[in-house]
Amino acid sequence: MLQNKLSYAFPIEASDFTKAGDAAGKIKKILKLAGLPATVIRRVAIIAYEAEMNIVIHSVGGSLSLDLTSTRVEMASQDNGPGIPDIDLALQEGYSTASDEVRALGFGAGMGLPNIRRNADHFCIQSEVGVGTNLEVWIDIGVS
Amino acid sequence: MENSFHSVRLLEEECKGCTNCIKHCPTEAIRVYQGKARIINELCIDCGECIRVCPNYAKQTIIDELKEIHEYPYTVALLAPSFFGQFPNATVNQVHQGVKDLGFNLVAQVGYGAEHVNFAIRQWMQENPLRPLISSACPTIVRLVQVRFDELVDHVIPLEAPVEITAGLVREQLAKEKGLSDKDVGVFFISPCPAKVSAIKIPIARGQSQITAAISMREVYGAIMSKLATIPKDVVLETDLLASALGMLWGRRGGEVYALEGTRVSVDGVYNVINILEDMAMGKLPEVDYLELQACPGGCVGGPLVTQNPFIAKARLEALCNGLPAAPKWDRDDLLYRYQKGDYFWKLPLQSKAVLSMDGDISTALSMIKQREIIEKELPGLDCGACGSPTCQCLAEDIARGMASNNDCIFHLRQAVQYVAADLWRLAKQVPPTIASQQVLNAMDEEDDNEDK
Ligand SMILES: Nc1ncnc2c1ncn2[C@@H]1O[C@H](COP(=O)(O)OP(=O)(O)O)[C@@H](O)[C@H]1O
Ligand code: SF4
Ligand SMILES: [Mg+2]
Repeated sequence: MLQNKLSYAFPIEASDFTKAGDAAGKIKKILKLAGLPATVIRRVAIIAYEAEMNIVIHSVGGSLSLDLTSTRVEMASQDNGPGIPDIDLALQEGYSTASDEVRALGFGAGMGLPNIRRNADHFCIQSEVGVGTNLEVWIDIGVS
Repeated sequence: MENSFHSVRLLEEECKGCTNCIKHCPTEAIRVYQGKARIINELCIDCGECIRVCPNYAKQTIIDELKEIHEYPYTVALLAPSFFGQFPNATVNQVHQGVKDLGFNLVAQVGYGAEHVNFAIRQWMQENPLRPLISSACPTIVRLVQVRFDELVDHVIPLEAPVEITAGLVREQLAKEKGLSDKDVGVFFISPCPAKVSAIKIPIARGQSQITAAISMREVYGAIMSKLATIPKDVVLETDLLASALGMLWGRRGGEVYALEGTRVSVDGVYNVINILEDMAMGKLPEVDYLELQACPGGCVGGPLVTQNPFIAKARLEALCNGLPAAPKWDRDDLLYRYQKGDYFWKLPLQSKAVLSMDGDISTALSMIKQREIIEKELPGLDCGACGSPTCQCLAEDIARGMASNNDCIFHLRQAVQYVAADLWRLAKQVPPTIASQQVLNAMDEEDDNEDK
């Protein structure tokens, strides 16, 4: 049987701190309407927010997408550069290249990618310097 | 037993069906239907915002009456800290005595219980690493978390509110010192808000409240005002259930966290609280240890049932605190014993009351969400409220849930009328020429020509 599926893509602008968090908020609202368990919503909200912020803070702009079925929440972020030179390093807790200005706004603790990985059932990040970064995660509903 | 009691109710006769309340409700719990506002019980958090904004005074609090005290052999009044800020130039003792003179056998200050809660919060924070913790003192906030932020219920500190703790301490003292049994003692809370009333009728996480009934601050205000002048400023109070400044300051924003350790954030006003909970749900508050959240502007001094301007009441309360001992004389062993015995804790785990989901079955819910989006695209996006829903998006949701129809939107309706009118026009022109006057037909054609230009 063909599964019911909802798909969304939210464009995200670089350095736009006023709108930052909007996409994650919309994703959370959709999951609440769908009646997903609170544990799933919590994890998705954290992932969505961190992924969105990474595009805002570290990239030249991109998008965050959500694909939702009754068994799985899939999210993907893509941006158009600058890319991550050393992914293993970027995944380390506390590693951050955020500027002092961005740190002054309360970002740049270097916990975003580690938290995304910790909260996801599947996590895959690919990046090419000069091209962009793609992140793909999913959370299985009911296996929390 | 009914498990969704709400003390905020609508007085139908007074409601004119305007859209003030639907626009201001922080949980989108109100719709106007057939010309009257309806509160959706499952969504209502008893914050009282609708009471504040209703220009027709059609939103009221269901509350007990003072005359009920005659039904009990022994009566106690519990006074919230915010109450003491309601009276100009009155001392704490005068206000306390003024309430006693209304006919109570004993008056106890809720700030006294707040000090016990303060101790319990500190103890809990030492023993439990989960952060940030959300205060449980304001029942509106606890309900808000239950219905809208159920992913955060674990973060709500599982302690009874000061008023419940105070009621327990009073009953214990009366049993020990006067041999009074629970049923002979009527404990009346003089409440600043409908939320506390609801929390007494249907306790948040315990079987039954130890408080007998709640009376509105407004109801007793006048009677006490008129008595104050006859009471000496330094009247001696015959009870030890009194608050120090530490407990008394719980009446305004910042009082609860004053004596706690760590990073504390105090937020007042229900919309501000929703914003910070949204942030917390996204993991944005990693450095925060404790969130003091109060639904009312300024804290309980700004409750929907208080009489005075909240800023004035806050200033008065702070001035009164200058004359009080800074902190209670705690018997730490006794408090720790009570803590370990479980006296301060909710008796049941806090339940999620998530109500946003479109359907119990996820797959069905997904199709309804899809439908909602299709409907929303056809609505004008003006959020005018004439349909009785607070926003176009909310109407789309209601339609998808089968609770409303497209034609509730006046723009939609107008378009539908336009189609019908066009049909009528065409039909009218098809009337046999022997019957219609040629003059009318000519006029109709002219009209159509004008339209085309
Ligand atoms: N979309 C991205 N584009 C480029 N660099 C990124 C991107 N996302 C993460 N990074 C790099 O990975 C580092 C670690 O990311 P993260 O763990 O989220 O911490 P933080 O955002 O606090 O710096 C960032 O400082 C940045 O150098
Ligand atoms: S802030 Fe105080 S007065 Fe306002 S709803 Fe909460 S408990 Fe009641
Ligand atoms: Mg980051």
